[in-house]
Amino acid sequence: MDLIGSMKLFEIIFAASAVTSAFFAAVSQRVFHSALFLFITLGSIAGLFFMLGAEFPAILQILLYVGGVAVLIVFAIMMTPAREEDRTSPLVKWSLLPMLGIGVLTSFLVYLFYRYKNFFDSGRVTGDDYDSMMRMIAENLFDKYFLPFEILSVTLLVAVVGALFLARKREG
Amino acid sequence: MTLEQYLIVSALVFGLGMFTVIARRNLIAVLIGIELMLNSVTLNFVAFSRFSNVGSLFDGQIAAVFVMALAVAEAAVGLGLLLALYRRFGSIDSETPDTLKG
Repeated sequence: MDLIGSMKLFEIIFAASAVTSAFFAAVSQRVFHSALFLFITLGSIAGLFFMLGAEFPAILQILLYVGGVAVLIVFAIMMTPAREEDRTSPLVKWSLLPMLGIGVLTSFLVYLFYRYKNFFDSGRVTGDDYDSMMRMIAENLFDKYFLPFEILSVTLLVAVVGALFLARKREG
Repeated sequence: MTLEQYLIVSALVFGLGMFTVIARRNLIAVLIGIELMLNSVTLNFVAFSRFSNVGSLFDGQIAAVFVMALAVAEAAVGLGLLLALYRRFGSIDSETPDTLKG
């Protein structure tokens, strides 16, 4: 199979596994299963990033989510007790109304994409500047987007201190 | 795949994440739903920057990186809040904390 064909195959596999494991994350009976399906979805979306030619977000996605958020969520699950109510699937309960609303929203989004199909000029080719991709991202990040980058670093510091403050044991 | 197909994948993941946020009562599951929604938005950013001619090729990727970093910060703060809530109320059900209820 040629390169383009196998790329297309991988794209379809990643897209299908992203959607199906997001579905199982939504309807699993146990939170731990939901978390595992969430990680499969995140990994598939990282694969889709690779297929889109965005290696940097893909690698960052794997590092941050599978390395960071996965451990956080699994620890949070282990530190809190499972409840009996979690064992029943949310599909069985009264959630028909939210399902209906979200179905309408999603089909409206899909309709919009087809309605405004020609709004975005599809088919930009990125093969030329493939080698200097990383360098271009760094130049953009530290030049054009320097202020948001600095604000983001302050935000991360505040988030870490805040999370420690919230999760610490209170005396008395 | 074309842009529309990426957008449809993203819309489906977003809808499923929103369903998780609304229908589940366990707060960890609600956080999982938020992560799904944020990730589908990131996929949208990257797909648009790949396929559209508006702006530079890297704008969408850098926006995706920013969204990811903020999502991780949100997860850390959210799980810290969740542990504090568990210490205070002894449960992580989203309907247990009702101190402000009139």
